[in-house]
Amino acid sequence: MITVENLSKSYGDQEVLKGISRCFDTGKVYGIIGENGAGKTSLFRCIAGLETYTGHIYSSHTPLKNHLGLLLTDPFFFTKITGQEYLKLVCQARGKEIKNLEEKNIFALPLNRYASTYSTGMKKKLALLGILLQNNDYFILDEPYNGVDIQSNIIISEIILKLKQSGKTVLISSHIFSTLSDTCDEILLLKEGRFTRTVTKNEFSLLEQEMKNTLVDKRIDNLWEF
Amino acid sequence: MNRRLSDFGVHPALGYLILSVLFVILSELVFRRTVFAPYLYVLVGSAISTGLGESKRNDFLKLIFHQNTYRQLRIIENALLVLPFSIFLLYKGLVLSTILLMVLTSVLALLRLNAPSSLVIPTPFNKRPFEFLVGFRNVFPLVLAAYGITLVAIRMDNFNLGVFALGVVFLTSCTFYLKPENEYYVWVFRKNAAGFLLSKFKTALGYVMLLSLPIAVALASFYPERIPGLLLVITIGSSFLLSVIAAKYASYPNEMNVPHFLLVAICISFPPLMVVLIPYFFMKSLKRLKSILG
Repeated sequence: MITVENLSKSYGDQEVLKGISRCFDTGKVYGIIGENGAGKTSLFRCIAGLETYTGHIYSSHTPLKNHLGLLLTDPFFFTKITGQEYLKLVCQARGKEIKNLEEKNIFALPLNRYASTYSTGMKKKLALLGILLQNNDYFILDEPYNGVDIQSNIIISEIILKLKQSGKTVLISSHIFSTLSDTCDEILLLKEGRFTRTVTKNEFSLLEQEMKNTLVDKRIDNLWEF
Repeated sequence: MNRRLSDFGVHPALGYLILSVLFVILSELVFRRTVFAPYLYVLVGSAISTGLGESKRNDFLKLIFHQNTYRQLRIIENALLVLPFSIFLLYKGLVLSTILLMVLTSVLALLRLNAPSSLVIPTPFNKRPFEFLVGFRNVFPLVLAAYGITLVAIRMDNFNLGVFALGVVFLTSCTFYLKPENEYYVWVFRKNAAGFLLSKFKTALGYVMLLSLPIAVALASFYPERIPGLLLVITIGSSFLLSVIAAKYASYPNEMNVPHFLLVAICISFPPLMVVLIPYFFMKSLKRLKSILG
């Protein structure tokens, strides 16, 4: 379980998170949605301890960062490190040893090649595989489906459901609504630094329709207003 | 450079003046200390000029400039970057070394460095993959050259040349730690700040020994009477590597700042300073890393 209490974060004069409070339960998957710049990545970075903030973040496993698998939107890889070496590095960092890597290479990645030569989707899959092999208790997946092929999208959704079954706490952000509705127990709408709405599974389609009506249609119509 | 000096709170003009004076003082000390200083200057100057050869940067320049303009621009950039080294070599009357430096930096200006390559270079550093693994793959020709120099040194019965090769390996290893890594690669460690730093020290010491072992063993075998001197060089080289690592994290996540860089550079001429400097940087690093590692 992760509890966020009165979390605020500012960059200079700009306050991006405004006193967020929320509990993320064990064995549940939460989708965080919001427009670009709504504060999703800032929230994730604060929970991970990569940013300073005001407020409190508690977790049942402490320190939280040592039990957290963090998949960044744009994972960074060194120029001359192979996929296999990357996995070894991130697992070693958590004191974990990888056994039978070939069997665990669920995305069939070319692990003997330099990770920097991978495509965007392959890089994402490698980073995801890294945090899965670390066997964390909490997962933050920032845009896990970005640039990933359709087959891997299915695998990622299955992995998220498996994590839920194993009692892990998962926070996901995605711009593809269907991926969230397939995997999440709750979806939280982050707007201007606050959670303005929480939607449970039976209301997902309603939320999607509302978002379509209020945001997409109106903006697209503006294109043809002369 | 101007922005970095301004960020540091120094007016660029004053910054350049201070840096120039320090460069001349350090250069004089280096040239008085070793006869291999001209080679070292050609090597260091060339190595520094590779910093502008990064592939993404050059792809961008190629996109916005005509091919001839791009080539001229890159040659001028590299020439300006190594200008202090060229001027000092000329001041010392070393015309051939100056020409060699200019030719090397011009050739390097036209090469696409750090371009994505599919050739995976095998290394003995897989057990703890990161700095030495990546660094070795980036500079392995230089390490092979150092091994080659050692063979020449033994053949010419020139122990000092062998020591120079050993110095090249230690200095090259230090370059693996100059750039701050992406914060994820610090954050991911399940260690506190002190544990993290000590593990970096341990890995670096083990791997620098491994990299310098062929030279050290070869020199010790052919010059057994010089083993104490050789051990002293290895101790100083290893301590210098530790200074660089500690200095790197003392400014983390920013790049090593100018005063820290200068303090580290002074250690080349005055190694006893490291006795104070390593603990000083270590304590500063702990403060910097605590915000990420706890």
